[in-house]
Amino acid sequence: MNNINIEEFIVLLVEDEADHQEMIRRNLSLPNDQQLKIVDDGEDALSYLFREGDYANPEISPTPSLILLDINLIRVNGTEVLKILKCSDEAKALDLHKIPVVIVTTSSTDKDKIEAYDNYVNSYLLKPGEAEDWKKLVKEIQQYWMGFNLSTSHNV
Amino acid sequence: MLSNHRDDIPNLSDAEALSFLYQIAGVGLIVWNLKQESLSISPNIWDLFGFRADPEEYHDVNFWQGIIHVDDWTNVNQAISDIKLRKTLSKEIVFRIKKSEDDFLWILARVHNVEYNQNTTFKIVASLIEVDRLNSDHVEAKLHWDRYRNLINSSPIGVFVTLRENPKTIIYTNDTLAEILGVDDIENEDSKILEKRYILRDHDFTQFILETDKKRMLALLNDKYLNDTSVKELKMITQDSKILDVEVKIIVSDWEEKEAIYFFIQDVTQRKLERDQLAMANEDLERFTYSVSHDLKTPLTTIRSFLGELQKESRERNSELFIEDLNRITRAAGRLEKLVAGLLELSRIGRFHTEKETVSLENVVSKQLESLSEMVKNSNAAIIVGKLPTIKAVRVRMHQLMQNLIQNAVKFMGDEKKPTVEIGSIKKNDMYIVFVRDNGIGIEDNHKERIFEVFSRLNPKIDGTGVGLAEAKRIVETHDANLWVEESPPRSWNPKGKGSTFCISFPESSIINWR
Repeated sequence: MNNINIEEFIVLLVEDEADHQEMIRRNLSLPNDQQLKIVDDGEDALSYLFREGDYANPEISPTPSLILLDINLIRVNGTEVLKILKCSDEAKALDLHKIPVVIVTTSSTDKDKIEAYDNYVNSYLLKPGEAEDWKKLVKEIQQYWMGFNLSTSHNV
Repeated sequence: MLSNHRDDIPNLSDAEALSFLYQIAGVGLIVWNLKQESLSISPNIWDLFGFRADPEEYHDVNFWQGIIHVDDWTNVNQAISDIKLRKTLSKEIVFRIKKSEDDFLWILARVHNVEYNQNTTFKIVASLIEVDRLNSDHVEAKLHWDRYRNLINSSPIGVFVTLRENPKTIIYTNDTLAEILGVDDIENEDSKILEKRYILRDHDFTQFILETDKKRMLALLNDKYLNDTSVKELKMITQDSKILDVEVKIIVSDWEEKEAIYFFIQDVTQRKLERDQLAMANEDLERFTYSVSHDLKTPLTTIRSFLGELQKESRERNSELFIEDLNRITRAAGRLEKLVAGLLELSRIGRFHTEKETVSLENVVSKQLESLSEMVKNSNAAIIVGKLPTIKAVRVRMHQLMQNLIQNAVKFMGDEKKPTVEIGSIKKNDMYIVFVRDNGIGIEDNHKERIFEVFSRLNPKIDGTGVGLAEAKRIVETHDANLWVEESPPRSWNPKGKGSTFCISFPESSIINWR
């Protein structure tokens, strides 16, 4: 495993279901609770990433090392967030397109999968139905994306 | 007997002798003096062919043009022109002339160019004989052609023909094409033309091709593509400016010994419309199943996941977390139940309670405000009720509709200090509109259609299943009415014009009393 500084690792979770937020929160083991940032809509996710409105202060909205993104969100859905993040000039100007995005969704339709990969998603995962599987899934995410995987922001 | 006759012969004048000759031979004669534009007709011609018209007319060139069957004009004119231009000295043609309105006679004519005296007299002489007598191949061929034309004419496919040398000008169409293009009831000043299929003769067919498709159509007439007999899609425009979707097939064949282009036109407007509607219905269904399966799955995932947590917590005797998770499961189960109930109700609209009766919307609204009084009171909202019409509708659905719209208005007030809901009606641009407007948080433009989809919710903080507006939409649809949302206009209670106005436009036929 790479020697990534886990203390500085920030995860942005974009999820509208409080229960699913809770499932991920419980299974993620980060040194500090403040390392997991949660927003419940795509619009808020974009405000967070572009530091608009309530998220203007970088202390409150540090640039994440990983984004966990649901697709079915209330106002702006995950696919739209992904598209803006990976493809827009605005996002590229801020280097936001380099942040790994992992979709975690209940949707397994071709349309959602194709759209996600068309917009350069880094990984596409299905929400499990069992508590045990949640535990496994979140552990795997942590091990892979915060352990083995090197992204541009990591200094080893 | 014989001797008597012989005695008479020398006394005959030239004219008399000629007249006898015509009669014995059964041949009529027409001499056309081109210099004077006059016709001389052998006197036996009306006996021969049984014309009933005024014999005076026979001397008029136009009369002959008028009684020749329209389908044979080309032939006859061609022959006469060939003779005139001395391309040939004589020609044999078969054509039909009109005996009465629907009775035609087949005639074989031998046309000759006779120049008695060059430059002064120039005559065309035609000998006419009824061809049935000859039982010639000409007749067989003509009859065959006629049957073939009848067949084309009764085909549901529109047909027109142009000549290769002049590919835009129609030389033949069938009745169906005239019907498709809406030219079948046009009054034609030329009263000779009675049948639909002659109306378009000599017209440029490209006038019936939609401007945007003209270039493409003309390209198809290019030598390169003419052998391509595949069916093409095209937009045409009728005489009364209706736009049609047609399928066209182009074939090169001959027409009276000339190379011609045949166009077969099938009107697929209706089929295309139905196909589009079906595609739209399928899309709706797809969106519906997508959101249903997603929204039902979400609480189910919660229930199953937290059941696992409960097991763990009961083993660890963590009663605090146990209770918290139990509550999560209970909430998710309650939500699931609501979603299923909403779906069930949605599926019942249009299936149960379909009897329409006279419904006073004023009564409906006042009853709904009564039953919603608790909610309205808690929201502090002021309600203004204007005039409302009496309409023909399904009573229970109108109750549901007004309940949903009022609830929706009251629910999304945000932090408005003086929340107000106005229910009223307005007649605008011939539309009978009933509206429910508020000064609440409003709806962004890009969500104005999505909000009517089942389970769609725009605000996670406000409780709801996302069925209410889908239900309202469905009710309105089953009443052949329309439902949409627009921004609220400024009012004394809403000077900034904030919030949403939900509008229902009822069909005129359902209005009993508009007030």
